[in-house]
Amino acid sequence: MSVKRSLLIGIVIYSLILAGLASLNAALLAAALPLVLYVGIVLVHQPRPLDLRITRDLDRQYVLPETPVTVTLTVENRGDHLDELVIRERVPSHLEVDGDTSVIVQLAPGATCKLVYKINGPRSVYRFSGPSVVAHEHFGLFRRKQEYDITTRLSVLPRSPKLRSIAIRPLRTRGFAGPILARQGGSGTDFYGVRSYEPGDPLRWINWRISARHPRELYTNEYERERIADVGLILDARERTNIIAGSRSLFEHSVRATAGLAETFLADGNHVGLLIYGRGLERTFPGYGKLQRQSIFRALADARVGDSLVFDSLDYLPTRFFAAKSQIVLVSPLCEDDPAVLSRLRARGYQVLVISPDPIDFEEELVEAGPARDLAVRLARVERALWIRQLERVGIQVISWRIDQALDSTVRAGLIKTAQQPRRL
Amino acid sequence: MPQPTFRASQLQRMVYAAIAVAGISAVVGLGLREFWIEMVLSLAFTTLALAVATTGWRTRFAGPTFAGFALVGGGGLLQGMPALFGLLTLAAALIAWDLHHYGERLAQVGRIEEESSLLWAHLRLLFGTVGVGLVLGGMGLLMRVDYGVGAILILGFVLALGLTQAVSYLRKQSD
Repeated sequence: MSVKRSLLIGIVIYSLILAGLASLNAALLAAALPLVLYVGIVLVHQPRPLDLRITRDLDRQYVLPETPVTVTLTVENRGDHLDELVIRERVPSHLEVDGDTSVIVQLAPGATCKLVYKINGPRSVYRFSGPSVVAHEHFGLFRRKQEYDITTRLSVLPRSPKLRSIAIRPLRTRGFAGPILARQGGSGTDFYGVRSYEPGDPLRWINWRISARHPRELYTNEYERERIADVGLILDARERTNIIAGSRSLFEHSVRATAGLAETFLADGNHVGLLIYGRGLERTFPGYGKLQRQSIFRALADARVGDSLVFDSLDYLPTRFFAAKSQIVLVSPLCEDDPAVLSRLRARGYQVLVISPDPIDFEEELVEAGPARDLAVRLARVERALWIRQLERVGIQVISWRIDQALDSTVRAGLIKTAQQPRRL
Repeated sequence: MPQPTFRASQLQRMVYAAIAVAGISAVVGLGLREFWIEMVLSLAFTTLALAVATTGWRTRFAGPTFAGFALVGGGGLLQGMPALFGLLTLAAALIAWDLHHYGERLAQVGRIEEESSLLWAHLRLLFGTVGVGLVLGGMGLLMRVDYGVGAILILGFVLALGLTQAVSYLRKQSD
């Protein structure tokens, strides 16, 4: 814009002077004088190279969705006087902004200007760049633009549903005491078996009824050891399995479910890791406690549905990431290739639990009602039931979750149903 | 479309006033010399410029308006219009052009820090520059210095060279 303006005023001045000289008309030369003076003032007032110190502060860097965060952008002028300085913030898309994100200001040397605004948005990691700064002289013909790159991150973490403790039974547990039954005799609360008495066994563990039948021997009750377990959470972020329709996304429900599961398993003291499988392999290495919760939630905040030729099926699931014979919890709407891969995983000794947000219910609402839809829904349900049955047949627990129902009650009902079925080890 | 703020509406009124002044001075100047056709054309152009400026369709009007008034003023002066009116036409057109762009710059930002002082600083400098330009132009017209053709050509060449440098410098810096 300023180039066009300087060209225009230049052409007008030229034309007046040339016409004045050609016609020897002093009035034309005199008429050019205000314009010449105008250009002269622009040259005198041109902004010098910018020397600004810019900082951006967020009052919180990790928040829950729709929580307002105050952003303060501070610009300090360390150089010469700036007649007009336009500061323009670049707010990442999808964030709702309350307040002004651009300002025009006159900045004396040493003076500061603050731009304060509030933002809020859905789950994601937002990366701020910029701001862009443009200095003009008063008439705006001359401008000096500079892009700053003040990188700031805001993580909007997923909201996690409250889940009660989930009973899992991996084949192998870790050596530390915890809430998971370890399939090993020792000290615990659940009866596990009876063995011969060994010196040092507590007297109250002696099974007097059996010992009475064997006069020369004593027998001791064994209880099932309770240990912490390795839990590997897998969030399915493949584009082919996740349905996204406008602002509604089945993936968001999967993310929330994963967050709830991570919270519950970590609260029970387990060693929990996360793998987001979709556009690549995004790993959060296993760990314990609150720090691990933070790591997992931050990874989930950045989780995106992705399309990859390599990771289109679960074939490339990196099993080495999970401890041998540990518990794997897959959160996935499932697709036709998955039962075969999960069966192989089960065959390697992993205990697999699948929490599957129901894609048919979700998609049904998006399609116009009619006989064709009803038929399609029935067919899809039959197909899905077959996959689930295939998984259950190899000993994989599958909890099909209708997203309009509470996850906690669905998980509880699913676990009770599984417990009633004959156990396959 | 957001309602213009008090300052923005003030600026708009100044733009209308400057266009009106440019138009009136051109019309009166041409009328005084009985250039009736040119006068009617100037009147029509001023009316059109004002109409475009006052309606919503005004994003790109400032450049053509300025160029148009420069043509009217310059052409009038060439034909013998009183110099004062030509000078006024060009000065008022410059003010309208500058204020329009200034208003646009202000409208593109969310907040204007110390709006009054910023606005007054701009207006002071603009009116000061144009005022001094008018006075210098007037003095130039009143003073009579006799130069030969050669001297005028040399002066013209120096001036043209200076202007070329200034404009190319501005373009280079703006890029």
